[in-house]
Amino acid sequence: MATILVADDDRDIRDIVAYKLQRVGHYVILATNGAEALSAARACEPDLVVLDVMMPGMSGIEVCRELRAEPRTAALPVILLTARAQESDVEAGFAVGADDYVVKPFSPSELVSRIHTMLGRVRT
Amino acid sequence: MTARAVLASAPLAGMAALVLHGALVACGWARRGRRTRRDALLADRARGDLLAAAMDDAGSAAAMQRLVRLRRSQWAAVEPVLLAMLGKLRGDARARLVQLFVDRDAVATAMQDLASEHPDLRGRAAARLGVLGWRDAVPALCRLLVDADQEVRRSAVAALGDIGDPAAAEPLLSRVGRRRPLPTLEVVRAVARLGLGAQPSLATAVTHRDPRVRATAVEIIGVLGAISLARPVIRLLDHDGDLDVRVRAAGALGRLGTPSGRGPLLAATAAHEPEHLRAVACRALGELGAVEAVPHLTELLSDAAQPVSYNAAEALIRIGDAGIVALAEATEGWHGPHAAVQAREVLMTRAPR
Repeated sequence: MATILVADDDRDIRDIVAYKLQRVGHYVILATNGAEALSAARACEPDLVVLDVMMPGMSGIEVCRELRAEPRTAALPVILLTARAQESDVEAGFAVGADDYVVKPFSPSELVSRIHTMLGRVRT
Repeated sequence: MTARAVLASAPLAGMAALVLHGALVACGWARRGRRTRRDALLADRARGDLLAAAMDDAGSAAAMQRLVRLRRSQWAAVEPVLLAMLGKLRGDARARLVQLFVDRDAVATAMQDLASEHPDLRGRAAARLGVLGWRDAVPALCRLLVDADQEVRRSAVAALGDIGDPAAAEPLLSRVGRRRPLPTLEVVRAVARLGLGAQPSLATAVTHRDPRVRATAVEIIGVLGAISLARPVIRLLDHDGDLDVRVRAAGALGRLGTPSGRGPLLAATAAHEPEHLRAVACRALGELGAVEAVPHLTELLSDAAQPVSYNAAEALIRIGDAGIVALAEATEGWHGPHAAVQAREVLMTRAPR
């Protein structure tokens, strides 16, 4: 079981990801914007973070950059959720240290597989 | 009653009518508010079942059954949430939610509604079948492309794009410019979503007698990145009699990025060509990253036509190091004062830092 932080301003996406992750036994923390995500990551020290790229205020890219800048969260695995039209953001995401990305519309099963792969990599 | 008494009571009657009207409006608002709150509550209650139905787990069959058995009023509240979720999912989860529509006969109803006499129903049914990605609806949606109601036609265009069946490309393209025309931008978006399967229809459309069809087709070729159609696009840039078609062909060649576009684009910047075409051709050379075009674009910095000189400067920035060096030299006045001003402005505002 892992603790996973999911940040997305879209309630449907948060609910879908949280439901799927809880069903496979993970503990999920939800955030509705970038600032919330950042403070949750600092306070709860999750095992992995799923970040929407386009969030009001602070984008997922900015959150990722902040996480990488702090020693406590620098090594946190980060998966970006990005809309098809924002694929150029993927490049920016990798530039600030994101580990992987999933394009919306997405398959919940595929996202969970990516999360498990990432967690497995971190644990080994 | 005397005329004086009637006149005296008229303001009172007017006020009473106003009060009554206000009360009716307030009642309407209150009723709508209650309905909105009730729908939100119903949708919230069903959310857990929607999530369970979408995922393949122990509870999904039972959740699906509860959703299938929802009363019509409850379904009306849940359906918008479901349609919104569908747009965010793919794979098995999406397929299960689509199955829910089938099990509720909502797909069959939508198919029937496409032929309804009410435009609202036709439009909503088209949109719903589009979100569901219902391929069997494509022939009926193509028939709606000539619907008397403009909003229905737009819904049909968007739905065909959502479904993504290349069979819709030819009907979509052939309606551009006809009586009851389709909005060009929406056709471009829809056909581009059909993917490279639309190429045969596009190859035919670039030879269509109507310039609006040719212009739309060439625009889509650029958006799609259909490089196998670069040759007909070059032909249109070189020889088409319609300026809009030539301008769009130049833009498309920039997006396609094939080296074969370089020569025709350079020719399209010649002084005798129309200003708009020259400006777009300059921009396209920048998008191509045509290093060989740097000397020519540098000369164009001093062109008397402002859009041409500005786009030439922007193209030099896009080309990269060689273009930026040429711009820096131009600021020294090597190509005249106009070129120096243009180069300085673009270097200050657009150069990578």
